[in-house]
Amino acid sequence: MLNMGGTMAKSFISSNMARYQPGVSGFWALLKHYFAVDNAYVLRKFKVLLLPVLKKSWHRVPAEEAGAAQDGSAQFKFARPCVDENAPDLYLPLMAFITHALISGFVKGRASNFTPEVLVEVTSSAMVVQLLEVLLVRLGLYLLGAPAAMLDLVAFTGYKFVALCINMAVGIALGRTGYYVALVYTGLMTAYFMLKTMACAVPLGPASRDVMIAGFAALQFASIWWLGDPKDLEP
Amino acid sequence: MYGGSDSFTPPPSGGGYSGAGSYASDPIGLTHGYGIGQPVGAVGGGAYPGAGQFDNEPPLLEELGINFEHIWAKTRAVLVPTRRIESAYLDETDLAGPLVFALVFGTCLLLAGKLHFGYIYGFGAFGCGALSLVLNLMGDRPIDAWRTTSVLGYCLLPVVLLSAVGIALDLSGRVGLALAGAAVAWSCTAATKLFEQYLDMRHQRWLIAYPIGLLYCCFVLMAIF
Repeated sequence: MLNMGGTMAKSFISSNMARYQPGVSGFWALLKHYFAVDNAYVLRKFKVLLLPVLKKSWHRVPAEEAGAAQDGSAQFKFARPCVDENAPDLYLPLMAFITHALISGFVKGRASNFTPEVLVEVTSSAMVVQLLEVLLVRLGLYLLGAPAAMLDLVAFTGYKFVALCINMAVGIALGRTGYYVALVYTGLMTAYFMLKTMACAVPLGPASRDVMIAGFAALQFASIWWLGDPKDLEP
Repeated sequence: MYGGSDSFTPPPSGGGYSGAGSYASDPIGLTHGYGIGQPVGAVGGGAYPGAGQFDNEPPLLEELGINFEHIWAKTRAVLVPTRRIESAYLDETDLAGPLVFALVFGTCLLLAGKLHFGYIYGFGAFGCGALSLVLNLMGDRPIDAWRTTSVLGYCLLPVVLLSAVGIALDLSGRVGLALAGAAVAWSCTAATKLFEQYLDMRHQRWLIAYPIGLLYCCFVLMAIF
């Protein structure tokens, strides 16, 4: 009887393992969770990022079907992005990150300032700022004693690249003044998005909690301001 | 097709000095290639001890896995992205064609005054690796990095054509921008069709088209500015 259970478990695990890259099974399944997106999710997320004030509910849907998860462990506490618009994903931040580098390159090219080195510089400075921001938010959550999944934080802070891309696109179309108008708007919207998301994710506590969450939102606005580069836009 | 056994003439036994003579001029049988001349085996057969293993060696190009017919067929499939492509072609992870395209791209940029070979290699390797990661994460069916590199390399052809145009024309104006947009759209369409057929990801078509488009935008930026 025990043997049968053992062989069944082994075959179940090996059939799932076949889908993983070798050697990184647990982390791979976790990462796949963040890339389970579809077209509808991406469109809805855009709407959330650009008009968060219209949104009513910020709570994440818990993962009811624990059996459907790859190994049913605690890391799948919440539902996947394709079923829950409040779930963080890593597809959109990653694409926005690369798009931001390419748009900056394009702007520099139009100002006859382009070398391929520009793409490398923009990518590395954006990565450093992103890393710093994730570490600061993690530190803040640690000080509050709140739970924090690192990939969730990378995703939430990564949504600012969508704002950066939009700012640059508006700057190309409407010049430097257009860029600054877009910067203020998207900066405020992204900060509000971060505020609401963190308010849901961090359990209620002392007054310092509200200050810290406001600090996270302000950090988003500051990093959008810092990373944007309107120097080569026409005024 | 590959200089097979019907054209193989076994060397005379006890070839002696005549065998040694041809060995001196062509020690590793380089001239006996794909569809040309006699098979390699004719060189060393019987001329010296231990030379019997050359008898059954295939021609050089076949051994390297370079098949011009397939390369041409895949290039045609990129130039005219039709709905379906022979699945046999998708099963080969051929990197010879992509390598040639990348070198031609670098040469066209060089002729336009830009020395970017290192960047082509860097962005190409990074982009193909990152894209194969994303495709594996998003899809249900695994795909290995060599296959994605092969597909992406073949679909670089429209960007190569753009860079060829860029030798004569200055591409940083409006015309260049329009041509660049067309090249990206063409490359992206071809690559997305190949991937969606192989991975069976039709419902996520736009989600895989976007990162592919970003990769080709990167190469196009190098070509137009």
